[in-house]
Amino acid sequence: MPTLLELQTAMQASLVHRDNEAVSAMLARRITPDRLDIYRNTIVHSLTKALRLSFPVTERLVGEEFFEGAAQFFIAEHPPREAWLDRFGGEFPDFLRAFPQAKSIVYLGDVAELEWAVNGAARSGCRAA
Amino acid sequence: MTLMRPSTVSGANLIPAKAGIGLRFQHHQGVLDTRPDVAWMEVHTENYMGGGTPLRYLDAIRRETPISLHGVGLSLGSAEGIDPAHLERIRKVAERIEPGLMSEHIAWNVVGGTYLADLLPLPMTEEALEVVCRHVDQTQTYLKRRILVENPSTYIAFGNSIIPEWEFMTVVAARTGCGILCDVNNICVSAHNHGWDASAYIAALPTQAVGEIHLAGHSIKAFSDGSILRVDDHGSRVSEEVWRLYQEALARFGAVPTLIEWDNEIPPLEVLLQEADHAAGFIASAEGARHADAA
Repeated sequence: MPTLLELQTAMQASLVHRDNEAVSAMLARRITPDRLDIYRNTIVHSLTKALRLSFPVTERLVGEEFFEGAAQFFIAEHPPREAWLDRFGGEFPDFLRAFPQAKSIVYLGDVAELEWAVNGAARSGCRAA
Repeated sequence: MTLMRPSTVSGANLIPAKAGIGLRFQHHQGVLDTRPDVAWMEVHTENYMGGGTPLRYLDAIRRETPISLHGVGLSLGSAEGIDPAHLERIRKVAERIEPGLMSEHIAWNVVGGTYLADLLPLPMTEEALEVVCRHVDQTQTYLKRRILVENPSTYIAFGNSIIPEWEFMTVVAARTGCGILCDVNNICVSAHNHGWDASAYIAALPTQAVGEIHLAGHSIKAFSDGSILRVDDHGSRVSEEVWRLYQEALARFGAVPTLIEWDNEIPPLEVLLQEADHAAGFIASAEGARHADAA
């Protein structure tokens, strides 16, 4: 029987890296691993929504569909480290600068960086209140 | 483990045993402009940790409407422990908002320093039970108040699960003194997905511990292996089946603060208020039935 930590580590491998090997053996017999897609989809959906809130102008520049695609790559490379999603996305500007599909919009990374700075300023301005 | 007294907040903040709505960013301005007649509202704690515009709205709204804080990121079931920094952020929001209720989930979402942004299922084992109880204890001690824990909606099950979920919920409440947030939609979803009896689940929960009910919509999805699952996506009206189960819950638990949750394809405020009115009708009937019994 796996320990709780082993099980959670196996779930992480499946949900973040699509490696179902360890988790498959831990599921109840009748459960197929493709059900894990429900969780995967929710994770991507929630994180994309968080990025959308932080980078609205960036999204307007590239369009909804492109933004969602870029977000999916970004999430796989830079999953959040904590449960406070206001702080998720600090690496997004640099990610966009290096994102081959966004090369034609040379200022995209700069716009994203400005948005990130504005978010930070808006938050710190209220904290003392 | 000591039994916690119910939260020590001033009477004005208490959540009444009436119907409320989940408040999302889309309706901040609408609520301020129209001041809808709703008994209470609930927000996701994590959305107000950063201050800024959202917190300014909530500061204004809470002057007239009692607020409940519902957390999604504490990860009570994490094997590696809960994040003290996150717990402190929750405490700070609570200090500012003075919520009438605070709640979290029987779930986990943090491992190896990564936040998996969903409410993930736990194996129903003795080890998981001990981990959750330890973290509920830690949370209640740190916040100096009682919390409610919500039953999950799940799509998978683990081979090493040996404790029925309703029993798991009951033991957590008994050992820690926490309350139960009975999500009737989650019971409906999980019962379908795992072949449980939803009515028996409700009948098995300890009446005294249930401090809040959640209602929401779910969808139905077919999978490649031929299975058909209910998915708890909070993107539609409450289903007839869930309204029926809700009446069973009210008959058992009495009038309990009841929340309409809606998180995807969020409708106009009026639709949320209609759903809350519908719930309020059932609460009134349940109260009427109780009084008739007592007479």
